[in-house]
Amino acid sequence: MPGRSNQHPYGLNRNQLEQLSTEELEELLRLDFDAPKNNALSTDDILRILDVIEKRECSDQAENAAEVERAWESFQKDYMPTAGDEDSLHEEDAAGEIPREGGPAVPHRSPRHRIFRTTLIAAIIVLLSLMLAAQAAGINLFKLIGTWTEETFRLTNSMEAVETKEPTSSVNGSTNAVGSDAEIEYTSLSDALEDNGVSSDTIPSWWPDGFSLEELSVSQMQNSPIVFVLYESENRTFSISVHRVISRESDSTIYEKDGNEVIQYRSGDIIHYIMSNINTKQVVWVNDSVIYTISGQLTTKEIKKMIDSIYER
Amino acid sequence: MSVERPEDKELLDGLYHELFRKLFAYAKALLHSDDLAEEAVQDTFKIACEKINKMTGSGNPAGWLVTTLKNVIRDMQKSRQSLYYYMAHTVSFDDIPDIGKPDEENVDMLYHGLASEEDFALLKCIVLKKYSYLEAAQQFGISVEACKKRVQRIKKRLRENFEK
Repeated sequence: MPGRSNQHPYGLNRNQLEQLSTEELEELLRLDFDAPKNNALSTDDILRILDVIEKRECSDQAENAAEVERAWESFQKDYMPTAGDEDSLHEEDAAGEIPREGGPAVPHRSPRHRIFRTTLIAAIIVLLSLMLAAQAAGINLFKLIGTWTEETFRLTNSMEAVETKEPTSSVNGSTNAVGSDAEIEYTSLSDALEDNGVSSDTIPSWWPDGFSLEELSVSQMQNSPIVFVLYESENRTFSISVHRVISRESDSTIYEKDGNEVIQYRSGDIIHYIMSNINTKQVVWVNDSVIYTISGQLTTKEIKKMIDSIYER
Repeated sequence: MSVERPEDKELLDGLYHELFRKLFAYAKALLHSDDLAEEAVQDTFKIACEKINKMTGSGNPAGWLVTTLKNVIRDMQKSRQSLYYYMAHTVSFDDIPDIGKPDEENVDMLYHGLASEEDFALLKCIVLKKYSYLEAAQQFGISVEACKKRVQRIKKRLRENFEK
């Protein structure tokens, strides 16, 4: 139930949520909803977000109570099944995943999925911070500079405008303008990147043996495409997130990290920021208005080799 | 199945009053419509009535309701998209200059024979005007359940016609 604790075990806490605007929180919910599977947010996360939204939007308690009462009466009159009703309202059974019996409201997932969820939630918050800050002429992402403390890594923007092109994607002969609500299913990461205006030569061509593509999705958030791919091996996962920023302004973006040192690794004349958080490693870099993030159970050596593979083609 | 046991009724009443605003806010963020959002929440609680043992057995009724609401919203979107798909593909594309805005007069004529005038008026409310089933039911003076069944029957005819 919402409000049970202030700190969520996967990293979402009330203080962070309250710093986001209602619009940002709603975008977070939409992004989670659109994720094809392994949704990043647990039902407790969602309820916690909704709790923050509700407190902001329902300041008039009497009006709120009256509205709920009206809906309750409508439910009883128009929707509540009566004895003898056999047919479901729905063409398909909508009852979904049942949280485990008697336990806390945490979906039953394997430890590696839990770790991956931590990373994905962090990535979503990062993307939201980037995408949903003040709208303005544009941003030169080359000017994003990394700074960090013991607990956070921050990309700070120097606020320079840059002209960007608006890509369109073409799949099966139909044109899908970036920013439409249509979701296209891809089977190839290269296709997903190219269709969204990102060269497939800008992602690693090497990664450790034994990983296979588990999930690939493209989301559209306020005209900015996000390509997300998850690779899994028998006992490890890692993800690559590619966020093509079309025309945004951002003051700064915060990544959660642990107390270990941030490694600045230069390759291809680009600085890659390698950091750790609990038992995952993450690398973030910016190239030509695209923010790249790789997260997962990888070693620093593996991450460096993956980075080098981008520029050794 | 209806909710018969007093303790179940009490549980449902409590959950509804505690969670309606939250679930509504969630549905509205995804559906961008107050009426559709409310319908999604009402349908979610209808399922809760039908499967109250599953909900209580989950140990986390609030989480169960959120998950069910998610599935209801997906179901709503899929159902409305497929209705629109059958409508759009039953009509010649030459008669629809912009696929996003079907010409209602042409659609009326071309659909003649597949649905009665009233049935088609109902379909237009749901698909083109994006009414909730409750709004459409109120306009046509029928129950929400009857409204859904009528739309399902029309959809079945359109699908059969499409598959010919």
